[in-house]
Amino acid sequence: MACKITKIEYYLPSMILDNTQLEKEFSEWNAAKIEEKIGIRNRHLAAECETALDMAFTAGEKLLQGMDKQSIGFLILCTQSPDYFLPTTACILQDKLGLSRTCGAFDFNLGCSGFVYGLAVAKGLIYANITDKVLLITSETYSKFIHSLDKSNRSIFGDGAAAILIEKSEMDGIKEFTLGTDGSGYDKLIVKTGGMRFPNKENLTELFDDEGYFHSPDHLFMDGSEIFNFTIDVVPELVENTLNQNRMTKDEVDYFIFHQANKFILEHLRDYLSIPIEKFYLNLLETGNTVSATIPIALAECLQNCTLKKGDKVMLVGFGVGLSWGGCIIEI
Amino acid sequence: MEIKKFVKDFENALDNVESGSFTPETPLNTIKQLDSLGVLSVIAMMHKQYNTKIKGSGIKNAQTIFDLFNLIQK
Repeated sequence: MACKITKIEYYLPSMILDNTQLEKEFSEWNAAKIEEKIGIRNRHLAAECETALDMAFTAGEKLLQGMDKQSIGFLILCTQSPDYFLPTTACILQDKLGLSRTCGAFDFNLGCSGFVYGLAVAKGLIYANITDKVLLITSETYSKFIHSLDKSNRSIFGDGAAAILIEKSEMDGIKEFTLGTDGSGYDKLIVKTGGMRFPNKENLTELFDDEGYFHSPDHLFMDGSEIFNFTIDVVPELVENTLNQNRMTKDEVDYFIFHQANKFILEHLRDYLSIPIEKFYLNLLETGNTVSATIPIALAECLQNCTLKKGDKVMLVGFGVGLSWGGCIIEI
Repeated sequence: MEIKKFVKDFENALDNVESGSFTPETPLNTIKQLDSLGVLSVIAMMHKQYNTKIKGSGIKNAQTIFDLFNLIQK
């Protein structure tokens, strides 16, 4: 029994927020410095009426073009910006995409670690003989959670969706995983109100704390230094454990694709882990941090521009909101 | 471990800081380069050069560069 990724497509909304616009809105911000520090020039934003479901549908349609839709046995959607509290967005997506009524479907709520978790679940479904073909879609519209005055998060996050087909195969294309969680850091990256714990919006007018950091319970809040600390605490060990789990050395990995959080974090991790620059993906210039879509978008690009070739062993590493993390090795 | 070297590393971690600009007693709240990205740069420097993980609150509670140096010693 084995499985592999057989196809990837992605979708980015047409509206673009560029650094020049950010500089116009925030006089203390400098377009060139944003690009230099976080490695982002443009981010795509979902239109007001465009949801994660719509983006997931577009990515899914691209992937399913020319395929027998009825052959998809399971649909998994990773999103933290669902259309409704209920039903699960994946059910609506099953119908919109024209998938079979015998197709299982559910959402799961994870952010930047979501793609790696989705692969793990897809592998489990195939190995348990529940299906031969899983359609995994990651789709996120964080821009809808971000306050217009929050220059940091507006600079970092972009919206996007990716669709990935995982199929039963002869070749073992999805190898061993290392997953982890630390819920004690749940409030370091959070949209606090709107769920059942705090159903009412607080509508605060004071949106900045004593040190000038943006802080609103009704919008996306990220404690940048704590998230950075979490990353440098967890990722080096995650890389080591994923290598051990796969009985591999770092040199045996042909390429590393980490969640594209921002250039600053990625360069620090690459440097700290002594990963050669030519074996390390870093490109979020035109997309920004698209949360659970960054890794599949990176994979799609690397396959398209032939950075990756058949037989390459690639380490995928996701980390973020939860706090949650996961690593695995795939073979192209 | 030498405080002099730490002050130099601290200066190097931040943008647009000339060598010798700071002393161990320099109050952190007077350093305009210590904005949100500046804080991350200092955390990154302390992680890489001193193998120390400093919580953001550790930096927020520190008053001077010497206080940061003491976080490494702990």
